[in-house]
Amino acid sequence: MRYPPSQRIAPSAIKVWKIHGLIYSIILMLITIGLFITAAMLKWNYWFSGISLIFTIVIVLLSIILIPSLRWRRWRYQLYDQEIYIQHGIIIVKRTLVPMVRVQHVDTKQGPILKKFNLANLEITTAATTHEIPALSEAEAEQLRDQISILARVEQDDI
Amino acid sequence: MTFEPRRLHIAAIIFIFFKTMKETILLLFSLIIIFGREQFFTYLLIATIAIACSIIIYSWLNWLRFTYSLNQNELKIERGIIIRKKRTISKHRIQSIHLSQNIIHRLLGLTELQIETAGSDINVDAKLTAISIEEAHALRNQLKFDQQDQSGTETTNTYDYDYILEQQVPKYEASYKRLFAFGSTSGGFGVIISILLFGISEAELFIPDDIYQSTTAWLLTQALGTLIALSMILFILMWLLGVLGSIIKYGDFTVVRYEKELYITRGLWEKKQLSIPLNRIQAVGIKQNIIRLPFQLATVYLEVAGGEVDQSENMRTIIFPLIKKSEIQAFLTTMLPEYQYTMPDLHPVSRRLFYYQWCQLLVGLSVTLAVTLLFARPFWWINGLLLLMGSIYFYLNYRMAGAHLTKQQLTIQSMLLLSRETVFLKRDRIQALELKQSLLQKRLDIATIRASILNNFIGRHYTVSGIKQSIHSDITEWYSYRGDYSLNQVGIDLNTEKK
Repeated sequence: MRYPPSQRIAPSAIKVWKIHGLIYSIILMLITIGLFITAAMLKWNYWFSGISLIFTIVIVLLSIILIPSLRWRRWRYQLYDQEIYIQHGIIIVKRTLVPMVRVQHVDTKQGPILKKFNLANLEITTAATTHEIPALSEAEAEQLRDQISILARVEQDDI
Repeated sequence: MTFEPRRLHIAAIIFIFFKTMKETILLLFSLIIIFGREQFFTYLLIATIAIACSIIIYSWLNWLRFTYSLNQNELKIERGIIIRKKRTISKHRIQSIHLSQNIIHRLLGLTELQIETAGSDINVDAKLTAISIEEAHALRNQLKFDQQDQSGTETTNTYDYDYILEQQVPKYEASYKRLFAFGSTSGGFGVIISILLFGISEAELFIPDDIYQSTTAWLLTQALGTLIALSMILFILMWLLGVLGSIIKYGDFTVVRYEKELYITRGLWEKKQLSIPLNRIQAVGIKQNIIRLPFQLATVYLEVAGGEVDQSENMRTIIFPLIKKSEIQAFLTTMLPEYQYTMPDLHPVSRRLFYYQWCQLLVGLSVTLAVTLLFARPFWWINGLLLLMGSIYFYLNYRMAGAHLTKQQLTIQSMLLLSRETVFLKRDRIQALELKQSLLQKRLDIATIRASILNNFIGRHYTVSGIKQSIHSDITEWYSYRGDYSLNQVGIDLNTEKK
C-alpha cells in the first residue's frame, strides 16, 4: 500500500471537534433530563431514562475525549501536481485519490466556530463526488484552493 | 434549410392536454376524497368539468404560443403563454437527438424530437412534442449535417437512421425469443406478483362483505387440486404480463454502431430512437441477476453522462436486453471495441473476505439471540434462519466478487441486490478512487475499492471488497497521476496483456 499522505490538518481542529461534541452532548443531556422529568411526573418506569443516561455518558466520553484526537491523528492530505491524496477515518481508514483534471470546483467554507479559530474547510468537487478537507488554517485553505484551481485548469475532455 | 418561426403539429395539443391532466389528476383525487360526500356531488362534477375545460384552453394556448425556427447556425424556440421564454441552441453544441413515437404519434405519422446539449441541466434542452416524421428527419439531418460539414468529412446525411441501416454497419437485433426469455427472467415478474398479493390483501376492504365471505367459503370447500390449479393459472397470468411488459418496452430492439456513435431503436408501444455519442459513455456494465446467472444470460448496459434518464432501469441505458455470456465478447468487439472483455480473466477476491463477513454476522446474531432469548423466547429459531440466509448471502457475495486490471481498463465485479454486476471502467472516466480498510481488514490483508463515475448528473460508485494488497496497490498505482507511475508496477496482468 502507498505511504500515507504527508500533510496534517491544523491541530486546533481537535478543539473545534470537541466543541462540536460538547454541543451534541448538551442536546443529549437535555433529552435525558427531559426523560427523567416526564418519568417522575407520569410515574413511568425509569428504564428509558436509565438507558438514555448511559447512552449520553458514552457519547460524551467518545465525542469529547476520544474521537477528536484520534480523528485528527488520522486526517492527512497531500497535494501533487496532478492529484490530491486524502486519508481519513478512525476505524475504517479511507484513502482517496482525486486527479486534478477531474476537479470541477474548489470551495472554502467557514462556520462560526471555525471562524473563531481562524480555520476553514476546503471542499473539492468532481463530477461524481465531493471531498472535504476539514479545519485547515484560513491562509492554508485559501492558498490550497487557489493552487488546486490553477492546477485543475487543464483542458478537460468530455467530463 | 432555414425556416421562419412555425408551430408544432396541431396534435401537440392532445399531448400537452394529457401531460397536464396527469399532473392535475392527483389534485382532483384529493378534492374528491375531501369533499366526496353525496350533497357535494354536483359541485364536484362542475369543478371537474371546469378543470378539464381550463386544461383544454391551457393546452391550446400553450400550442399557440410555442414556435420554433431554424437559421444557419441555430435552432430557436419561443414558448410561454404569459412569460415568454426564448431558447437558442447552436448547432455545434448539440450532443444528440432522440426521436420517440407513442401510439398516437404513429397513427398520425408524427414524432417527438428531443435535443440534448452537453449542459448539465436535468431538463431536456429542447423538446418538440409533435412534428411530422419527414420534418423531424430533415431537421435531424440539418442539425447534424452542418456539423459534419465543418469538420470537413464527406459523409453527408450521417444522422439519417435509415441511411445508416442501409450501410453494412455492425448491427445487433434482439429476437422475440430473447425478449421472451428476458421478460420471464426479469425481476419485474416478482414485483407484479407482490403487488398482486398486496392488492388481494387490501381488497378485503373494498369488496362487499357477503361476496367476500361467499367467495372464501367457496374456496375453502374446493379440493386441494382446484386450489393448486387456480394459483397456477394466476401465476402463469402474472408471468405472461411480465413478459408482455418487457416485449412492449424492448420489442424490435436494434443496436447499431456507426462511426463514433451507438444508435438504439426499441419499443412497440412507444418507439424510441436514441443516439449515444461514444465520448459520453462513462462505463460499460454487464448485469446478471440471480435467475439469469445459472443460464449464463446477461444484460449489457451503459453508464452515460447527461441526458436520457431512464428511471425504470436504474438510470442506465440498456444496449442489449439479453445476451448469452459466450456472445458478449463478439458483441463488445463489434459494438464497442474501445472496451475489452475481461470477464474470464477476473481475479477472485480473497476468501478471507467471506470469513471476515461471516464472523461479523456471528457477532451480530449473538446479540439478536441474546435479545430474543430475553424477550421473545419462542422465536429463537428466527436466528437460525437468519444465520442460514446470511451465510448464503455472504458466500454469494464472496463468490461473485472480483477485479482485473489491464493498461487501459479496470474491471470490477461484485454482487448488488442479488445481481452480479461487472463494470468496465476507463482510467479517465473514474472521477475518484477510494481505498477503504479497517484495522482488522488490514491484518487480514483485504481492502475495499470504490471507484466513482458520473451517471447522468450524479455520481455512481462501484465497490468491491476483499481485494488483496498485491492487487489493490497495483490498481491505486495505475490510477494515480503522480507521474512516477511505470508499467512495471502494474504487475498482475502484464501476462494477459502480451497474449
